[in-house]
Amino acid sequence: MGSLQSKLNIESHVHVFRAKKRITQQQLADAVGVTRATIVALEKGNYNPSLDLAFRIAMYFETDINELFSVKATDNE
Amino acid sequence: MSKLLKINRLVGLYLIFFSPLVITLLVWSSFISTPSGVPVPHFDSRIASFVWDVLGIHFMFWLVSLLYFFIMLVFHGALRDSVIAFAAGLNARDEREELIIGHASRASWLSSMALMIFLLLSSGLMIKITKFNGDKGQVEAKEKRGSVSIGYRFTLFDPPVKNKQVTKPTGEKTVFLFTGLPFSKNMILMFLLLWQLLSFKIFARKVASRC
Repeated sequence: MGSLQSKLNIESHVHVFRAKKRITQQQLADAVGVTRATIVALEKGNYNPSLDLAFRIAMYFETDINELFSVKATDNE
Repeated sequence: MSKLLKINRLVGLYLIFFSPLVITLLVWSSFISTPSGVPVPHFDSRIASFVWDVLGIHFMFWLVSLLYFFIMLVFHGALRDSVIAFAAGLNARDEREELIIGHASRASWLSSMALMIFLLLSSGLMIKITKFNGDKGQVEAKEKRGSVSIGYRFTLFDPPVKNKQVTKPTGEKTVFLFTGLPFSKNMILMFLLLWQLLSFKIFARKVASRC
């Protein structure tokens, strides 16, 4: 893993949990109080959610935040 | 919702929904030719005269309401937020849209600043390129073919309009003359408004495509 000052690439596993639970992006968006576009961007890895939203999603899936998001690699590598 | 906001919203709705009557009057008035010095046109039909009067009175009321609404847009924060946010598409439904608005606002503000600096500089800039014809009495003509002069004029107030008498030296021909922006104040303000709206929309779309 590179320097802690470089930007982290956060990988989202939200789509996996969503598929397991068999819910749509809209249903998840409604449940956590965001728009569907945010869920789409989050699953694509284009948007890093705030801690608040990340915890809300984790609570919805009854899992740990580390299970939902992981650090893929850094820009330096 | 406060009572004032309710009233202001009603005024806004009135302005929107009754604007066809104002447009009708304006279009109608463009087809009517009144003799000079006669402010009110004469109609043969009493109905046409009555409709004209009603539309005219309504137009006065509409204009006063419009003036009130614009003043409220400046001073009433809640109304300003709801109306301008709606018009500019600044409605943030969640944290991602807040982020997009933040980035787009920053980019739009910076581009507007750059544009205003450019307008300020070019509004006072004067460039004159002249070419000497070589007539008698032109000392410069013996040695030089022309001249380029660049200046900057900054005034806080526009000078009163006078019939300018331009004394042009003989023996020189102006090839290029730039004395500030040729646009009116209305045009510049309207351009800046449109720039603000359009640049925000463009930057918001650009940021949204990235996240």
